[in-house]
Amino acid sequence: MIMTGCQSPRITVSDVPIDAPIALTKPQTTASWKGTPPSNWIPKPAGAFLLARFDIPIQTDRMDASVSMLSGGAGGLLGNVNRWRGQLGLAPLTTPPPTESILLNGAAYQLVVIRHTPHSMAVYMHQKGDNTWFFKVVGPSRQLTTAQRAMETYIKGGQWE
Amino acid sequence: MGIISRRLIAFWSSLQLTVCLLIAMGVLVFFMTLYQVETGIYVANQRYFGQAFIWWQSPWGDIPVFLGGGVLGGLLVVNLLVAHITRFKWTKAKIGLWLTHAGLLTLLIGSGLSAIQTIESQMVIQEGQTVSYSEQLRTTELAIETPLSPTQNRQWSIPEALLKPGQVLRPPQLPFELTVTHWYQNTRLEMNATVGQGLPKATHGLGQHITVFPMPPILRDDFRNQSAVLVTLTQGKQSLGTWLLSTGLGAPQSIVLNGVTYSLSLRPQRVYHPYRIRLDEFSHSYYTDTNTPKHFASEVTVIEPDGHTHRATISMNHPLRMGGNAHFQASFGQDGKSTVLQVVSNPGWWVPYVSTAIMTIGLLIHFGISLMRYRRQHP
Repeated sequence: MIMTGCQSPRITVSDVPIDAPIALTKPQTTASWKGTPPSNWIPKPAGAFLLARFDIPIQTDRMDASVSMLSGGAGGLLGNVNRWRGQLGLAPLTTPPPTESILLNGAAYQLVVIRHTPHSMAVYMHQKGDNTWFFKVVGPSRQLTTAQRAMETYIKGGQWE
Repeated sequence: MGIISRRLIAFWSSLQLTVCLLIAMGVLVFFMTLYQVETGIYVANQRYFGQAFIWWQSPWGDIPVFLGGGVLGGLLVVNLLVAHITRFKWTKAKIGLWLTHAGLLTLLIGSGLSAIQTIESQMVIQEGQTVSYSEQLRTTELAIETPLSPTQNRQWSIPEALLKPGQVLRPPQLPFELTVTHWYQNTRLEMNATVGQGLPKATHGLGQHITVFPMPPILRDDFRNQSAVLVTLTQGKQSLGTWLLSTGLGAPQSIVLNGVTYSLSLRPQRVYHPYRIRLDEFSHSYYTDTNTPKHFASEVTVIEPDGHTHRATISMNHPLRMGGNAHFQASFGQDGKSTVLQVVSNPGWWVPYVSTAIMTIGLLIHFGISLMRYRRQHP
């Protein structure tokens, strides 16, 4: 027993089963979102995690806007908020922060606003089918409110398919 | 026997040593209890019982300040054994004492072996999903997988302990080797970051767009460090690029060589089981007007290696025991449609029961003999 417990680490090779999900209870539903960005938004390479990404020019500043989608609960509110707080250099929270629910074009969104200096962030979360969608704006704190209005206009003008 | 040998035996068999070791153990448990308030039981247990010494991180380096719990337990075993060999005599009157001490020895040695042998992992299953593995959340592995058939993958598992900068890894049967360039216990990943330009980056895969910011590891039970590794793949003398793998990246990354796809990922270390478990339904309820779970249970179907199936319910305090593992209902997903089972493999689970039984019998015999002796002397 002692010998096996103290084995030195080594590379192992094994043949393992592929665990595929089996839909027994409810079929997985997917939805996609289509929206036309305002003409002054500048498209950027989206990268691996994002479905769309833009620069929003506001006066002399630029806000970063992005759309992403994750399956299921996407790690939960607290996990996401702490990830975003980390991006702004803020310490993680131990309990989920208060959020605001808003209706945009007839759909309910959960709004998370994280204010900090010099940058702040607002994220609109929407559960659609089995996925969670994130519409995020981040950038200089003084332009957050303007960027939020622009993002809300963008969401209202879009369509779920 | 020389005077030194006699003194050594007297020291190791003395009751004073037993008392000192027991007091030291009490002190250790007291400070461990205070420490675990901040860090949780696992981290505190590793610090106070998982090492030979308790280390103080001083400005001049790590300094040992106290013996670890495992060493104290080992010394107690030696103390008890030497005392028995040299001082206790094998008589019928002492049989109760012998049994009690035998039970104590079984408990001490068995606890030590259990600490080495026990593997705890978690199995996360969504409703309708069938899973054959659980994950050890405190250790990671660099996994390389390639499809063998529609139902099977070949997997190379490289444990975290081998992911040291400069380490060259040559997994058998693979057409490439890996050189670890950077290893980070905890990180913050940022896409298209405008800062951190000088930090090392991947040349291939998702990592090309990601900057890795090293963070100090956080030692808390309820926190998972986001580990990351940068590895350079080479085939012969040809570099296949540097890849960033992280527990923070959900999906594996792929490389195709000679028409064969190899997926790479850094993930919690997996433990594969011969059986599979399907979650048929998860149910839970809360105490009124609170977020405190009142009851949660998983209705599962167990699929044995030979294909036989049977249904079971796993709920709080009602684990499913199978294949040498106990599956406890530990938690559930926030969506309420997935379950988290704690899978505990402890080959020495029987030790506390057996040793306690031996000690109980020993004490009963000892007190019985003492009582009879007293009654004979005081009729």
